[in-house]
Amino acid sequence: MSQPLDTLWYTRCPVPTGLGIALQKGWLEQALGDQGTRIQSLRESASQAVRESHFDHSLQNSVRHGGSIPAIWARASGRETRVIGLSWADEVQLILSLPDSDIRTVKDLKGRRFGLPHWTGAQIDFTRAQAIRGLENALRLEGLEVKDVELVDFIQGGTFSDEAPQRVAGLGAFGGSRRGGQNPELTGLLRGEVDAIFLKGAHAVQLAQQFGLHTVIDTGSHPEPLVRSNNGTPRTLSVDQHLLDQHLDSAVGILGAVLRAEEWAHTHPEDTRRYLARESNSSEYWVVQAYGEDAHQRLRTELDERATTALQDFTDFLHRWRFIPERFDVRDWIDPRPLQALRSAVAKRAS
Amino acid sequence: MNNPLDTLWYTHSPVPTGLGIAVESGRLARAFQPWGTRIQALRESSDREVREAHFDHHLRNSVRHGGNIPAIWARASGRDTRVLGLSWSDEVQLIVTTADSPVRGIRDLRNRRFGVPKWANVQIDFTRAQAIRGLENALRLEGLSLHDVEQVDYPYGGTYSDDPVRHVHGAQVSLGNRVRQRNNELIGLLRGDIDAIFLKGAHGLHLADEFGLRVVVDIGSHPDPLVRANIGTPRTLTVDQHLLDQHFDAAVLILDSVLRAEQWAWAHPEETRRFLARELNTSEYWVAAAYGEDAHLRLRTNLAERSIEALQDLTDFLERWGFIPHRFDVRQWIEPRPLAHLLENINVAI
Repeated sequence: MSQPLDTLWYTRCPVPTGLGIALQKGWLEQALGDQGTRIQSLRESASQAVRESHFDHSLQNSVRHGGSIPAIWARASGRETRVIGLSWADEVQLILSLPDSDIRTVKDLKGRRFGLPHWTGAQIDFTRAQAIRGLENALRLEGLEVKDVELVDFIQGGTFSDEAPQRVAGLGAFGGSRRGGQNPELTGLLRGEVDAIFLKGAHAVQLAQQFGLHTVIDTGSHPEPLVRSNNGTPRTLSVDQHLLDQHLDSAVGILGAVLRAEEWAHTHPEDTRRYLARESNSSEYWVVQAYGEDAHQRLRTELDERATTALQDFTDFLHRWRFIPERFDVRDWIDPRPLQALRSAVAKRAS
Repeated sequence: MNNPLDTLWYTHSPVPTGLGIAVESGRLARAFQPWGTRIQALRESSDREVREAHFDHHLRNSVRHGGNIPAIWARASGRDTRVLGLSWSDEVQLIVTTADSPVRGIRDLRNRRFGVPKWANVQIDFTRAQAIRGLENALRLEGLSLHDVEQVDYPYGGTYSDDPVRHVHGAQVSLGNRVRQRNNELIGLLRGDIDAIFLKGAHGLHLADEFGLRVVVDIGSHPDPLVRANIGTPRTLTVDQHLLDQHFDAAVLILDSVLRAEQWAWAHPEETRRFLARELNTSEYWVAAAYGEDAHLRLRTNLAERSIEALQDLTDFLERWGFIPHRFDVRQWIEPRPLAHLLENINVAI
């Protein structure tokens, strides 16, 4: 039986997620409030340990919707979490060179210097992992491997959760300011210390435009899903095992709010674009450039075969590059019960 | 309308302006619809000459709301324009350096290298003028002058109006495929070639955050308005003399639309913030951070004494640094009749 839950902690990445829309609409608060549960944002906490749970999922009774790398790492490191949904919102994934660079295509990267971020204090450096994934997938399209380029590390001290984000007019950036900047490898590129870097999403297209950078390739628009699969494709909606064991109704309520928000988004492109701009701390124009004119249609959380296969492929990739200590079967990680419960409730109402 | 106006050309800078809100909400077009006047965006024209009127205001029957530097320059260069209103939206104006720089305060700028843009082919280089203004005002707070720092120029080719712009998802976006490296002085700062640069507004704050830059001073938050006075403080709402002479009603109607749009904004903080974010092509968060949580209340077009004095001070500044051929009395430039007419005849608050 499901026990009453006092507080649910939530967090999502600054990217398009159903959970982000559900929060903006107040629907998560409503769904959990009906069960007597209050919700609390973990990344706005004054405690760094709580904020860091966005990455290591250490907090009991918490839900996270976002990039798969920290979620896979937490699971591989022994954290008892379960995936209750996967969402696949394709986004731009850019390899960028300077405007006057002679690197125009992927082939030209051979033997050149590629800048990677290296966050020395982070438990899981997802910025580095996603850059290597993007680079590897791009190079393989031309029969090249990562060893064919020279990797240059841009070391950044501290962690991703050192500062709580400032809030202005009820709006927040994802994280606090960072000494050395948000993307040390971009500084390296602009200084001419490397020939190319990887950036993705709304900020990538904006920064590329602001500095007139050349897009060598956008692996995010490749027809093959496994080439596009990366930190955000698919994203994981995960909760801790304790929540599922003790508060299954809460897990069902969370997923219900996410699906409700996504269904609403499908028929509200304008409003959704505004919410996505708020989520990604960018403009509506850059949201469209990065996530498409149909960004509102790309919000779909399910447990489909394509996303599951990509998640396994990505887990194997993280193991191969030693970002996680061991590989695991993602099918054992997925708990389909909340989704099944919602679907049978819908079927019951329909019959 | 006594004398029918066929086409009204309008332009507004991608910054907080009442005209921007009046245009993008459709208010200006609706106001002119009964008169059969077409409303046309001059920056969207396929003709570069027309687009350049955003800077030199040479187009007949046109209205512009935006940064004062091009407007002052156009007037000083003999263009027959008049100011109908002034709006003062304070914004961040930053002198920034890198996180590991020894420059901590304004005094540390002494004998340091300061990077400024230099557009070779433009009629009026407002990016350069605003950076020098910001720097001079910062230095003066510590008894220093521009002679105490070494200026390093960062050249740009082309002009500000090489490509037509379109509003795409609310943002003024350049249509050209031209790849032009921008933010050259920021790159110079990151490379360690110079010690400090000037950045302002939402994009300035965003870039400072992106690269972890240290803010030496934000003169946009100084208590003295003349220290804060720069290209956007105050902004000018200008029309050409011909419009006033031949279509006075149209000038009144423009101002009326602007004032009503601003009044709407005061009562709609959330929607206004979204408008501004779309117009500036940035996030609502950066709008609130750069223009304040009360950004909607800062949209106020009037002819306040403080704004007039600041406009004169800026005009003198531009003459002192050779951006305009000669100074002039801004009070002669201001045409208060449309505003007075509205205050007498129509119930608008300002």
